[in-house]
Amino acid sequence: MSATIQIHELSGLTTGTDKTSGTVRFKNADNATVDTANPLVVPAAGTDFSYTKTLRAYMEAAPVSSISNLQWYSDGTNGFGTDINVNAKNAGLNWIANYQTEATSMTTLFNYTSGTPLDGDLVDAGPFTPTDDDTYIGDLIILQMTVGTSATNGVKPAETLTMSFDEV
Amino acid sequence: MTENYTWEAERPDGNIITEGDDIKDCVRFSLIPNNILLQRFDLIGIKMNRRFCRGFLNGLGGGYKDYIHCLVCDEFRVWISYKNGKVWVLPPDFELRV
Repeated sequence: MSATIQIHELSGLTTGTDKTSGTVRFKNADNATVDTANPLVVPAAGTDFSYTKTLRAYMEAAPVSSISNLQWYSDGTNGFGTDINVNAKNAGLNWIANYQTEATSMTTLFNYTSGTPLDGDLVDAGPFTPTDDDTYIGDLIILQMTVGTSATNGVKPAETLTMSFDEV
Repeated sequence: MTENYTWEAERPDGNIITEGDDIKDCVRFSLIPNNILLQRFDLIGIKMNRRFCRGFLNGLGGGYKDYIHCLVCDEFRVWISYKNGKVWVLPPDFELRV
């Protein structure tokens, strides 16, 4: 029987919403609701920062032996258009409530590709075993969208972020 | 998607294993489809070392992107997709990510 691994959008170190089959929406509000309320706006000057989004893997059903090698990566192409970007970093297990100011030590998400992924179990290192069933596994991954003055208005296309893991 | 196949490996004495990663000395490795649209795979005549599966989840929502079984051999790795039965034979140090 294979494990069931989920991706959760967190509101606390070990509190979150299952988004495995849902959507993660960047917005100017600290919630996981997928709606058109609190949209990012094109600023007259400077940059509009979304609230940070914190993602983490969750072991919903245990593997036979172990889960390891968590990695996060994009397709390498920013499809949001001019002056819109998403930045990312591994925050280890250092939980900070989601915030709207500029996140530090971030790298553009689109630099993390299948060949150069973001390590997802650097601090909370695997392998994760059946004893970790029904718990969060791996590190906190923080994302933040930025909108600059040259961006265009409107609903933007969805982008891809992939999390991979090895299972035995 | 993870239920599309079940796997088994056969030891020289005929014993069948269905768990673990060590498949040294096994003489056959099979992926048996649970979906009639997928083909069966039987690998024989190659020296296998270990196996694992690699899952790929859409990180911003959307569920499984793929789930791939990997057989690690001396000179190469065989990767087989649970999504569509696609096969890759790649160098042993190549980390497949889709």
